[in-house]
Amino acid sequence: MIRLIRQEFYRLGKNSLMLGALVMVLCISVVVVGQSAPISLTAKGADFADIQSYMEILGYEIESVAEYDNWFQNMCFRTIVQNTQFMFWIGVLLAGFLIGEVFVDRTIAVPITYGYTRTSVYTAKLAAYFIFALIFSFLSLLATLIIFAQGWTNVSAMEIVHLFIFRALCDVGIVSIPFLIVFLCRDLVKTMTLSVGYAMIFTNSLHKTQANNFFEEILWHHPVFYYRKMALYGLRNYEEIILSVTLILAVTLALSFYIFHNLELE
Amino acid sequence: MADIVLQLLNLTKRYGRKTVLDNINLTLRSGRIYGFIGNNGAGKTTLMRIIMGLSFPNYGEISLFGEHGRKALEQQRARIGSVIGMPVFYGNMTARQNLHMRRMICRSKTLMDTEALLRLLKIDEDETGKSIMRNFSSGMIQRFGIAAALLGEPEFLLLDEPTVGVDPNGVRELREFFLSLNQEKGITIMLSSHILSELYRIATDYIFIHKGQIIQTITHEELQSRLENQDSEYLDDYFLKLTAQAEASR
Repeated sequence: MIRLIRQEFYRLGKNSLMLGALVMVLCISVVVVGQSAPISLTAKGADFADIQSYMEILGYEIESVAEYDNWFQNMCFRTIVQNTQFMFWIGVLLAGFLIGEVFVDRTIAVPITYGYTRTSVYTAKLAAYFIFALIFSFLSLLATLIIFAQGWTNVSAMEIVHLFIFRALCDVGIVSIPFLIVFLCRDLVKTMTLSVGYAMIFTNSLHKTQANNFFEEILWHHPVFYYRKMALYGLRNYEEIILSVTLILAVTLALSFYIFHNLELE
Repeated sequence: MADIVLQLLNLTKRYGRKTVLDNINLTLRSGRIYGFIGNNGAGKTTLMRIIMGLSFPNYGEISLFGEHGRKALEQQRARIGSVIGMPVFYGNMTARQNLHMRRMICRSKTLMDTEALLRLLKIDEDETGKSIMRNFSSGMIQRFGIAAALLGEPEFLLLDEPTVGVDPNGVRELREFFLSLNQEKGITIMLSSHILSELYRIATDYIFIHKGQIIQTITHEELQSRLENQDSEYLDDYFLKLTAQAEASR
């Protein structure tokens, strides 16, 4: 199976369209996430009294500007780490080019004719898909933090670990749905169209602060919303995120594996 | 038993209500070249796809190199090289890169050299060196498919119409190539083609399939004597008579 995963890396390197699109999404994400990061009041030239009253509204008491800067750095760091919107688009591209394309050109059948089991072919696709997604997520995060985070040395190591684990969980939750879509459609165009629809629904719903109807109630259980709530209310929703990601993964993997295992290939 | 490469027992395949393969029983022995003959839609490709694990039978058993059962079959398929339908490839890569991709996943202990394969099958240097496979002619794609099938030095070659789109010179070259593979390396070949005159020149055995049923298996020598008795020299005539008889007896 390692050979199959290595082959996916080789293919990614040779597929300039997929690589170019991923790098473009990555660059856009760095700019968009970075630009949406908050700007500190000290940078805006506010005086200490204004900063103090602003912090009082948020429920914090500060004694000095340095204390505010310290709080702001942590908040800015968290905000950047917790912005996962662009992962919807990474999911669209990976599902389309990494898996959809091999159904279209029928190369999905090649490893089977070389004596690989369907389980190992599926597992290699799954592993490559999530490894690529997490690599691009990490690269985007790193670039955004380097360029836009206003100092992050004050965030405790434990909190960084927590944030990164839950960021990874949220990423997996987001890109899982396109992984299922591609096995349902087994086509590049259909997969990308449906995945774009999925991305649009969620990115349009992200600005909402509460669910207004039954459909939104269901969407509200997507990890991206839990993660957003974490950004708003602090690190309190561990269990909900884990449960949500586990459920999405379980359904996605069970269905996609069943489809592939029983699929007539050409 | 050791010289049996493939054995099919009561193999049946249905798509909905349509029976595509009906109770197929077949045994292929090593070192032979089997010409697999049938009209379009007779079930040749479906049978080959089932052998390679791309499709599943509804009933029946497959045995490869004396092994059966899903896991054993998956392992034994590493000993088979196949081209079923139009060869598949990554269109945005050159033939060399495509063969490299195959090498990466090939599980055979001995692998043929990529350059040697490209030379052997006369896959044009310009096309492999400068051009991506999306721009290849269909004849060159067929040659690539055969090269990819040979990569793992298979003991059994399964070729579904490998000369489609190949020019007359190429057809002759491929015929000689298949013969040399069989005679020098002892590779068993199952070859389907609509160019029956080509099959007649290389096959040691013939399998005739009609509407999902094997209507006859015959050796080349038996076929020759039957053709002499019928005062005919063409395999095409024999095949047409055979299918007409099969139709009449249905």
